[in-house]
Amino acid sequence: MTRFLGSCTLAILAVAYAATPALAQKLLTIYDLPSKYMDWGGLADGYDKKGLVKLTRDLKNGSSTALAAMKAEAGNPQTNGAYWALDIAVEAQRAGLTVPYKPKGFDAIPAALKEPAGYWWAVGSAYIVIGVNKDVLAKRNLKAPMGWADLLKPEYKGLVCSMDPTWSGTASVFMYGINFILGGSKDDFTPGMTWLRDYQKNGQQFRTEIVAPRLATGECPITIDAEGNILIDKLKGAPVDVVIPSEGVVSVNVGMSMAKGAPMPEETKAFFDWLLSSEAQEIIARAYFRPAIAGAVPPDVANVMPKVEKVVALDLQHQADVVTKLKRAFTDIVSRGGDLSSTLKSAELAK
Amino acid sequence: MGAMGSRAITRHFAVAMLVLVTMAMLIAPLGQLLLVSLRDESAGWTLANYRIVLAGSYYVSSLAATLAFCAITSLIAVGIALPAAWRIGTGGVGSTALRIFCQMNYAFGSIVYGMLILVLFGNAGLIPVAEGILFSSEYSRGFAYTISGLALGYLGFQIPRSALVIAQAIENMDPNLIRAARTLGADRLQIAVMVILPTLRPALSAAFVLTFLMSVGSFGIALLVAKEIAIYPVIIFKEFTGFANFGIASAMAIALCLLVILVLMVLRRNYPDLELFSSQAR
Repeated sequence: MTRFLGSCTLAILAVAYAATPALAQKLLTIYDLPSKYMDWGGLADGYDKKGLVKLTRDLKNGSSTALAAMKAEAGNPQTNGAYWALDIAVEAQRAGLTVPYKPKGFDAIPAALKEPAGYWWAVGSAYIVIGVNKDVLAKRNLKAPMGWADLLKPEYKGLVCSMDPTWSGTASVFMYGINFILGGSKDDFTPGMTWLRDYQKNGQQFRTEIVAPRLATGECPITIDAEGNILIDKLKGAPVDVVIPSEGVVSVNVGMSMAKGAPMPEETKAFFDWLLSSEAQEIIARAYFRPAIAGAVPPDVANVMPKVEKVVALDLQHQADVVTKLKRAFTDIVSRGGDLSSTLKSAELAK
Repeated sequence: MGAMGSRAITRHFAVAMLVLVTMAMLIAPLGQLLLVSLRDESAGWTLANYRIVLAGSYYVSSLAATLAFCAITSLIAVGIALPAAWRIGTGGVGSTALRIFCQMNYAFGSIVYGMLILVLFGNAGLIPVAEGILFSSEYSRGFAYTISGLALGYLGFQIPRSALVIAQAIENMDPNLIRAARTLGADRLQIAVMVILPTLRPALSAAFVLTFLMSVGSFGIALLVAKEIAIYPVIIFKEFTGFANFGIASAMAIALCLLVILVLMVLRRNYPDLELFSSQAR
């Protein structure tokens, strides 16, 4: 038995020793580069090939998760930076978790998509739209929904998936934005929250996973997602399509921040510089996200991008102010079936 | 220093390693959780997090629902596991295969069971698709997301694990008891109800308690498919990642931990002969 335990210990030590150089070999930790979102798989492949560092992929699940991890690790930072929805980046800046950096190409980013000092900046953006699986809808003799209101109709009952806004940055932008699409205001989140509640009541789901791969398989016949995640599968031949909702859309702006206490600042800066290079911006464009730097879209990509007419602009700072309260209200009202108007009032999200 | 001496040193070394690993993997994180749960925003000491966790309807109702759900599914699992355990324990045809099948389940994390349930019973799972082709109906569509679907996922790991616990007790059962009963003229049903079940009662309770505790801590399945019930570990996860509410999340985790310890202490006091508490019961 002792001999057995001894050999076990030796074996573990041997494995640990063998694994250490591999890990030390310049693994650049960034929270969270989801390979199935904005084609981070392709971006990371592109950067890994340069032989400078190896990027971590799918390390945390979503913007909020990355923020939570960085808060928890504030005393001993593990990540060099983060990729997230910009409202979460504002929250992180306020919490003092990030430091400014202006990557090469920073000046070319539109002013609304960057923090002047460089606490965060966009690398791309995407409209949040409706994705449909044409095969599944045809099998059910259903037309594609025209807009957000259609998703509350009985014929689409139980067919729609979106990500859960308590973890996903895209979904939390949508949770905030749907209110303004449907006529709500900063003083009154009743229209948006009512829609979210009725969506859930109609059997639609808020998932704890990235929904894009589920649309192509038909597990989710309809999704609410960033347009690029739907288009990339469509152009690979999946029976999916994008619907631009008639009521209007909001855009999710996604970008980077440098972590305070980043263990590998120089490598991180080089990586951030590269993300704004024409090479990286074209990979983002080819993932059908709209690159942060204008003019990076190749013509063949521009031709397949959907025309979006009604865009509802959002106030990023206000979004960052209320997003946590809004998520809490969402949990109380939508996930738990709590009273809508009293919950919103007590959270000062309605009068 | 002879062979015995060096062997003793190795043994002490192994024990020391165990203590170190336990400290590192269990006690240190638990201590950290305890600290975080007792701190407020300005790093002062507070019990506010526990007040919220133990009085807030959101947290309490989730805890109650989770405990009830786990107790009911564990009970069902022990019932279903009994025949399989009998086959494994008595060594009949296929017992080895059955034992290996049950042991295989230890290799799967809870999230794997979530994936299995999705593959089988998701909206586009194998069974709903087959049902659509065969009967053009869709009763099983989305079954994964119902409370029964969740229960099925839990049973997936509960049944094999409780079967192994019960099988051990069956192996250790004195065969003379059954022979004696038979000699005294008892029929199969009488033997089962009056001899075997009472003999196995401690093992059945142990299997139930173990399965229950394992289920209470299970997280992966619920994260993927629980839509109709707020499973406590998922709520802890949401507090942590969704709201970065570390104080509350830690208090919830400590509360769950204390509850489990409490259950074990009460059981130990009332049923000191449970196999669960005896290291010889193998």
